[in-house]
Amino acid sequence: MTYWRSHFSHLYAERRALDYPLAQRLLRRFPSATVVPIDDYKELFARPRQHFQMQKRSMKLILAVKKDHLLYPGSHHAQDFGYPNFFYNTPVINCIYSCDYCYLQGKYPSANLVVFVNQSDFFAATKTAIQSRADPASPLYLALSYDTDLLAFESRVPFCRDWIEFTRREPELIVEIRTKSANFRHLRKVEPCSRVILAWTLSPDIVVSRYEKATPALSRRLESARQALESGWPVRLCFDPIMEIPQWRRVYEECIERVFSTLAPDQIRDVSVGSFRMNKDQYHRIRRQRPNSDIYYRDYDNQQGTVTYPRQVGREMTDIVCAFLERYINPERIAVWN
Amino acid sequence: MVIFLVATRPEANPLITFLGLKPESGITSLPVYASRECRLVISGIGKVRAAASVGSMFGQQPDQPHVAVNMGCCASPNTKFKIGTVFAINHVRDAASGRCFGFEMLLDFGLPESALTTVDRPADRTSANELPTLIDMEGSAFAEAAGLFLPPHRILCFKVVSDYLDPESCSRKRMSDVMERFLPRLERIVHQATALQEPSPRLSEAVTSLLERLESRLRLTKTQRLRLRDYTTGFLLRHGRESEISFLDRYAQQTVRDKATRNALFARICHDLLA
Repeated sequence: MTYWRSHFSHLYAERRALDYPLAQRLLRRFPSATVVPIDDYKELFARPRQHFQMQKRSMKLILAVKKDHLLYPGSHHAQDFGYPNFFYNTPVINCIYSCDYCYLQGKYPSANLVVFVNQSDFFAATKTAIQSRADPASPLYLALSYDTDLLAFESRVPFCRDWIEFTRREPELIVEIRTKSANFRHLRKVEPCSRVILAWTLSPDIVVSRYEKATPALSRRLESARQALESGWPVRLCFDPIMEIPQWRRVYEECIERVFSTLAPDQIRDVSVGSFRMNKDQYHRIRRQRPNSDIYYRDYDNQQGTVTYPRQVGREMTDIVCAFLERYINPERIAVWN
Repeated sequence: MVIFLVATRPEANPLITFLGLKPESGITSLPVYASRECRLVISGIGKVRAAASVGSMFGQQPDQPHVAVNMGCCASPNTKFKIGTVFAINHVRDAASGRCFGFEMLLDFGLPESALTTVDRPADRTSANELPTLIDMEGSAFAEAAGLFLPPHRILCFKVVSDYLDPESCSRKRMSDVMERFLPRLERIVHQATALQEPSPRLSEAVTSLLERLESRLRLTKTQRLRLRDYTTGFLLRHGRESEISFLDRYAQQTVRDKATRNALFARICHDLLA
């Protein structure tokens, strides 16, 4: 019998991070974790030859202070929803879930979660970016939860709450918190903010069970989204990535019917749709380390450094899913990644 | 294979006996003992010897899924740890360079944990305040050298307290005696270490043989062979049962006379495998 340690059995903390209130909170949150002081998180996180999938079996927590790159320009793999000042940040690196198609497996050398505890520096950088944004006529659009799932982690660190309160004070800021979690209950007592978009990634149950390991079932995500709508939050639904599974048309049609039998279409702020895609280098890195997912044994096109379904297949998938969505949602509220 | 690196013979002897290792000759000038699943090298004392031993053991077969384990005696500045207490090391720091190596604590060996500091010369009580952790003379070099060949999750370190910064008290007999404290844990360590292998779905012999027949019968190009193996792996991952791949048999009965027929047939195979 193999005895894998539980997740977060160890907490590696940069010495300079230990004084931050967030670090103290996490130390209290994981009282039985072994705390190992380190000098620089990169000595652990960025070392060569780590195995992402092996680390996923027993993820550790690394507490660090982020010194630079507190904000990144939005990636062309992500949708900007028409906002020219599109940025994302990484208050946390990596995710507690383990989706087969996740680009994080190829982006970062380690599966351990890094929590940056210098939240005030992130807020200051965002304020500066708001003031110096390229198009002052448009607000700054910030995706908070691209390289992680912040709401899934909310019970450990209240990042979402803190960012919601920050956004409330910044009228020129719109943030998106994207999640697969069923954790809306952690925001239940928070006053809704019209500039904080709670975005749920939704997938048919077969995709959840096959490719989105450790994530809540579709029904639980829908229930969470329903509660958010009921409380008055702007809610976005993301059918992204759409996976080419057997009988995908029928599967996605049924999924969309099920979604809108739970959620009132007119209350949804918008919907995003995109087929599976990934940076070429990340794809090949993942393929080497994840030989047990069929996703990495298919025919894809390399479209200018992006690995994705052949153009015709991808277009057909997004067109058909959009057609299903348009039965409920005005096409103007559907954003498509092509 | 689990490869143990131990500094001295008195430390190694109890492990060699317990694991039933036999002397192995001709590979390196270092004393090496081996069985079917384990090897043990006696490196000698100090960082240079430890690093050289690691290089000699792993440089020969860099791509093998070995697990490296450093076991040995250490000193403790803290007298609250009893002589003979065994620790799983979670972090090692080299006292001279300040360089650190964090061991990946993926598995639970049922042992208390500690950090370790590696020094260049035997430490005595006068350095107790500067060295708050367990102290040895090989750990950091072992970890750094092993890190050149292996992924960090396959590098493990265990130490047993042999003295309280009093090297004179650490006789050969005491070293052997305290190393015996590892023995009740050794089987579990070896068993657990063996489990530290990355996922690699290999095609079974039956499937490989079917693909080889198909490849030769259809005279597939190198690229087509690679694609065939990829698609077959994907198909088996999706469908789970090898019996479902038997439809490829009917393609293996066919004969192709030109490239166009071969390519058309290959396209049909791909289509079926991607279904």
